[in-house]
This record gives sequence, structure tokens and C-alpha cells, in this order.
Amino acid sequence: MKTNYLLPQKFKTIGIAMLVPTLLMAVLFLFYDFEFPFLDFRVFSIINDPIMGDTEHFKFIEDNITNELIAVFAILSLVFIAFSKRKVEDELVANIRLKSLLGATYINYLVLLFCILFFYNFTFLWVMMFNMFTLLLFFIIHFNFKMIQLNRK
Amino acid sequence: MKNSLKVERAKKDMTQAELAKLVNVSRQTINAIESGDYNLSTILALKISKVFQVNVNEIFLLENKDL
Repeated sequence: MKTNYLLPQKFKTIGIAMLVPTLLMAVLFLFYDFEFPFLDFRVFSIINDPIMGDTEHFKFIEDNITNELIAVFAILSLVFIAFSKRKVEDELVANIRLKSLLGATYINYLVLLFCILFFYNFTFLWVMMFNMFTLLLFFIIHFNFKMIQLNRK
Repeated sequence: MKNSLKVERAKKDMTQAELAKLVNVSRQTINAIESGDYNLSTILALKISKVFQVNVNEIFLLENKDL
């Protein structure tokens, strides 16, 4: 069966290798406000809406890009892990993958609906931040759980 | 959909792994088809029938609940 839209198998290893330091950096950034001083750059922003001051459009601004790099690496590593080929790819695996994506989407948005109704102010901002990654995370957990179940048969 | 895949395999004294290799899928996929947990594609059904040299509907049969 053709699986044109999946990444090569080695991307899973690359994804795991990228995810470990990214998670470590995320913990340091979120709980200890850690930023690399050498990542202070002049970056191009389409919209910049600072707490103090007016909204700016299409301007170069000064920013430390530690958090941007953490988010980029987290998304890339999760996509690599989620959508790389398995050793054996056949139509049953493709079927399980599709069902897992559907299941993960349902779970993700059920959790988000719950959070919209019961979490407010800054806590909701945290929810939105984690929600960038939870769809992929739920998919990886669901799919791998189903594959373990299948391999036991 | 029910199937007589297990019977056809037994006639040819073929294991799930051997059939899986011939039709280019995993052994687990053959097991899932045999136990009725997975409805296979037309292409795979045709490949399997080719291996056993019988018509597709001699192995795979529709049940009333499928109609």
C-alpha cells in the first residue's frame, strides 16, 4: 500500500532525540523563566501587541527567541514521531492510524471544551498554550497503544 | 463479512505468517481479517484469492447485517 504522506522511518528517532532536550528546555522556561542570553535577536513581526504601548504592524522588534525555538522544536519533534513510517506499513496500520487521528481529535476538543467552560484568565492561557501540542500528543499515545494491542494478538 | 481464510490456509498447510509474506502485509493483519476484526480492502481480497486460486466470494462472504 502506498503511504506517500508519511515521513521516513528514521524521523521517529530524530523526533525522540529532539523532544528530550526540548522538554527539558520547556520545563526550565515555564517554571524558572530561563532564556538563553545569546538568543536576543532583531526579528520581523507581522503584529506586535506589547502590554505597554501601541500595536505595531510589519516591524522589526527586539526579542529573545528561546520560547519560539522551544515551540518550533516541540511541534517538529511531535510531528516527526507521529507521522513517520513504521517498520511494517500495511492497510491495517493505515486504518488504525486514521482511527487514532479521529479519536485524538475528539479527545483533544472535548478537553478543550471542558477547559473553555471551567478555566479562566491566566489559567486558560496556559490551556491554550498546551493545546498547541495536545492533539499530536493524544494521537501518539492512542496510536501506539492500539499498535501494542495489535502486536499482542 | 465472514470469511473462510483459516480453512483455505489449512487446505494449503500455510501459516498466517506465510500468507502475510505472500500478500505483503503483517501477520497481525491476516489474524485480524480471520477473526473478523478488520474488513480488508478489495485489492488485498483479490491478492489473497489469487494466492489460493479461487474466486474472492469463495473466501469472503457478505452477511445479512452487511446488506
